Amino acid sequence: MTLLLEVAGISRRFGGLQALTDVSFSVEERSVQAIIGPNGAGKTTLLDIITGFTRPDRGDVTFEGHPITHADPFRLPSMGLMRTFQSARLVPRLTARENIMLGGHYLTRAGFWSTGLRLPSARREEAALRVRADAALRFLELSRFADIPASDLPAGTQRLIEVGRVLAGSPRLTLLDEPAAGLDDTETRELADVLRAVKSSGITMVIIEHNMGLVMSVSDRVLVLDAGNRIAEDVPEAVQKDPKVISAYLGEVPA
Amino acid sequence: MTQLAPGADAVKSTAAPAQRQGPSSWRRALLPVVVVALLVAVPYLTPGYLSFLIVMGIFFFIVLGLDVFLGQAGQVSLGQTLFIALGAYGAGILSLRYSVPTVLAMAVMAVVSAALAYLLGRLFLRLRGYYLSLATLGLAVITVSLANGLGDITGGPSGLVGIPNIGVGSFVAVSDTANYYVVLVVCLLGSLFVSGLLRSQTGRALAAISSDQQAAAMLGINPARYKTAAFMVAAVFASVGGSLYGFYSRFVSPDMVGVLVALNLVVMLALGGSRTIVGPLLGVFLLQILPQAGQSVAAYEPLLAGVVLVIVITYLPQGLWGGVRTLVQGRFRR
Repeated sequence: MTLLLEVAGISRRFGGLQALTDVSFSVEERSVQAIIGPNGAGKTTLLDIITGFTRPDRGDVTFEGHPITHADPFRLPSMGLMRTFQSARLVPRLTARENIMLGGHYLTRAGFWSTGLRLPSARREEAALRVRADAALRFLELSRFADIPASDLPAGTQRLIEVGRVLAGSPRLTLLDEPAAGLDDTETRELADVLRAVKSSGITMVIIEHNMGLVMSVSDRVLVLDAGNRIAEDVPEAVQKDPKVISAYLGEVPA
Repeated sequence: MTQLAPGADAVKSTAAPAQRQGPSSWRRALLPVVVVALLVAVPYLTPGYLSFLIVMGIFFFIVLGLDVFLGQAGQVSLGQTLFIALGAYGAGILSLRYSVPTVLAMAVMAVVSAALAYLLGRLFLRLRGYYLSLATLGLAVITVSLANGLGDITGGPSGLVGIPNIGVGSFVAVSDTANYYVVLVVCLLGSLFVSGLLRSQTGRALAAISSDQQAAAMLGINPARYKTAAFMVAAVFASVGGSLYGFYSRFVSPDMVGVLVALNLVVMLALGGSRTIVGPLLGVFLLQILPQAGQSVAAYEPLLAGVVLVIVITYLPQGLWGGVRTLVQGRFRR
């Protein structure tokens, strides 16, 4: 097994708040790594640091052996890394299909000239993107929403469209920020099926999630953060029984 | 009249790529053909309005370019008169004083404008929202001051007089009819280019940037690169529009590149509605027709434009054309 992502000794302070203290973990290729923890534990900050939106005060992020701690976010997809956001950040005025087509945008070469002049090369790329997007829509069983503007879709569907966007880009690693937030039980079960299918298609995943059922059912390893500190990192069954984890979630248990 | 034939042919041939293949789409292909045929016939149908239509066409072309930057990429530029001035004065001076062929002079100034837009883009496009608008408004103020102040080059307040008409080789577009066809061809080509952008991956990338730069970056879209390129497109369109205006009226003055003109371009786009071809056309038409409605109205033109703009932005954020389209689509859905 090869290590795809290595996060080493990350610390980050926002004003008086120590958001992350010396957090390390690594993700093996084709595995699913969950990151859990109470609100304010620093989960999203960690994701933002991995994807270059926030710089750490200390520590390094390495992807496939390449340091990406100070990489511009827009260079990451072509290195093989994509992410989704806590609340889906689709382009409201574009349709579901067009939004998913954007997932494969980094694979295209056509710029202003060739698209403005409608050159054959640009049209071919456009057709290929469309095929990828329609395949992702079918995979997610969302084909009926293809031509509906993203702004008219319910929040749960929007989040799935964002997952479809990742599928269209087929990166090596994808980071999902609370994909089940706001979904009902049925939708969450559907999402779990989708994530398992994504995993079996060979995409490595890092998932921030609150829904324990989802975490336990899809992840291979779980990292637990509390107030910016790593308090556990193990297989799901072991983490569930860890007294430090239980007390972080339920408060101090009197001995 | 025989010299017009090549222009009309060019118009017809540029319409061809707009057609979609497939037997069922011939109805869709018919509409552009009819529109182009009507546009070609205009000088014979309504000869009295040619001058109005030429100026309107030039402004339409400039607003079309601005639509790429403002409508598609969501960045406000209040300084497009800088590039209009470069195109108008630059091509005018090159062809008047240095006998550079008009089309070459226009092309040279388009390249110069693109280069300047690239440099300004690197400088300005880190700015967001109001800051970008203010910085570009500064460009508009500088432009009109330079047009007035650099009298030795620009002719100062009395303007640059005696610019030749546009022409290629022995063909020179002297009559209004000839100028109309020149502008028509340029506008059709510009419309094809901008609508091509709009419907392609470039248009989607610009839409992504305009709605959420961080999310766009995470899709591998470099916001700085796309915004700079969109600014360059807008600059080239403004420059070519400026050159055409100078060649047509054979005269450029600082009034033409005043701050109010820069504002009007944005008003035209907001009024008609962005991200379409008809929207800018409608906006330009409305703002151009206002002063024609009579002297008494002309004095209140800025006031009227302002009031209409406030109403449109408040109630029809997609512009008049966007509003009409929503209304029609709503009818069909029911």
